[in-house]
Amino acid sequence: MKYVLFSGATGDLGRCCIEELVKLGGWTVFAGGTNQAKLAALGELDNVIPLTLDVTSDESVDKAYETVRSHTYKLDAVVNFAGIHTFTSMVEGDCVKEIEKMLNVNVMGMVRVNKRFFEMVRIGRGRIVNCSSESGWMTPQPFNGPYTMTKYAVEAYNDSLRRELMFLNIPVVKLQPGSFKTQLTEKIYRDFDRAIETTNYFRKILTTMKPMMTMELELDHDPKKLARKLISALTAKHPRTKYKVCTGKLLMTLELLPDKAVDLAYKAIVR
Amino acid sequence: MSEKYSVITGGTGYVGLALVKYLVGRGEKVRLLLLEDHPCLDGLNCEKMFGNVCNPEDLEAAFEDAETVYHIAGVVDISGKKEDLMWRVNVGGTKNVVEACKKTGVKTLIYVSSIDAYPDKFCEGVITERSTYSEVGLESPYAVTKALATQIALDAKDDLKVCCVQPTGVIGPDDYMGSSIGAMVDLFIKGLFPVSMSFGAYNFVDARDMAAAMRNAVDAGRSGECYILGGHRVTVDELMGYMAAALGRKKPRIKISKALVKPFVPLVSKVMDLAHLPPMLNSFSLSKLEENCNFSNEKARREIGFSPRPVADTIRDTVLWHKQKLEGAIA
Repeated sequence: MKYVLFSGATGDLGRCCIEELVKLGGWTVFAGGTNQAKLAALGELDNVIPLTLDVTSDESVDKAYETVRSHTYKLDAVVNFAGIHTFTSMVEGDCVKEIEKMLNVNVMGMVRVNKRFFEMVRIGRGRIVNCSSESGWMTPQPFNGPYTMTKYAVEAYNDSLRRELMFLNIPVVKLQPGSFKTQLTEKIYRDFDRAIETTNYFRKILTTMKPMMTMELELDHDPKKLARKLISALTAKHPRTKYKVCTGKLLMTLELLPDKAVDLAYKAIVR
Repeated sequence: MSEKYSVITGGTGYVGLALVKYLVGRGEKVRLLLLEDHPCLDGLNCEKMFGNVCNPEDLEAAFEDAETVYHIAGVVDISGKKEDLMWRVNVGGTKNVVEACKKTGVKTLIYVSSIDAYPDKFCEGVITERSTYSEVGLESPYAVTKALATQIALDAKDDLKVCCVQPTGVIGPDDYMGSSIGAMVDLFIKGLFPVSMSFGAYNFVDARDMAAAMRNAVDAGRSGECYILGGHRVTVDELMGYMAAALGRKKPRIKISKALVKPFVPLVSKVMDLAHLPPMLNSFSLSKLEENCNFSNEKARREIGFSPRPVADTIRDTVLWHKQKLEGAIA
């Protein structure tokens, strides 16, 4: 039996990946999250042990560690899915607090979990999977800055961790999924509408951008595609350093253009 | 003299058999928990029970009426082939032993840990006992299992008296189970080990000296304490010299350097594997020879009367035992 710990297991993507992994057989999953109702639902799956895991709290991570340790000394993998999204301007509203909070969950949460469970992964000759995003390598869209900042940080963290742990033969892999329709999507819409209501300078821009954003968010990719990539990352003898899944085609095209040209394109759309 | 039993797990190994002989020699009531019987126990006045440390029921049955438990059973695997078994026996087995001791009211548990539980091999200076043990800094899976098991045993110190002894490289006669060093001695006696090495050293302890110290620990040891049972530091070349002297031969004149040995290690280890010999020389054993083996036995000498005999005596007895075995005098 192999053991894997998930953070952010109660999210839609986390749950889907856990379901697929359990179907595969041979894995026991420690499903970490904060939503108790969803944790209870996860607990009904075979070979899933739900546990409360708030990645922003050292105490909670320590407690989760004790729970995992009471079942096993070794982990075959840690999968960091915990993440949040906020759509906000970089100059208006309460952006400093929002960014701090997001960095704490998306980046420091990952650092906390990997640091705490490192020895278990080491003695299990396991691997670490960090969930980045297509935002981790694309030039940020306007008003999506904070999320992109955290994912850029995740990329840098992941790559430096990979080059550190490769000396101990511990693979570190990053997932770079595109947009999936999850519980985060509704929040993005709500944040967007709030931004339109409260902005002093960007109402026209935000209103014009909304259909573009909707187009990207409503692509409705099958989360099982992500689960399949994750399973490759977990089971491949020599996993790749990164797995891209369902990358947005429009956004990827923009990446091919010079920065100035993309800036002009955004301006042209709004005009 | 206590009317209650002293129970030994792993009684047929190097350390186990030396302890059985020592306790039986003192007239103590000894019960062994064995996987299977072995001719080496013939003629020893002890009770045998058959069972597995991985089965809590076997342990509880074996610990009935026991005052002291010596938990020696363990798996040493440096080839990586029996890693799962090693985890189940070394860590799971020790957990079971501790629980069974608590349940059956055993007063004293002596656990044979290992010097491998120390992550200090790259440091300089004298290595002394620690108060806690964990997997941090340990590379080999064997070391990790021993460190975790040691901590499991120490954690029970409030429920019963627990002492851990931590031997360095155990040698001595009565190597019925076939150790790596025993295989090397066999080759040397047969004249198939005609060279010495100009590098490497290790600390060796006589299993018989360990047995006496373990028995002393029952009375004089302090609960929750570890005792390093380190004998003498011997270089590979000195070891060759002692073995040659025991056989009345000349020491091998050719000494090979590490640079010469290293490229052949994978080949030699493969050949030994194919010949079903214990893994005498592989990258693990080679690295062991270069680690800091400056272990202090000061605490064990002071508190549990550990008194290692001269290493020349140990090696002579070991070599003569193997010689008898090769001549067919020992089954």
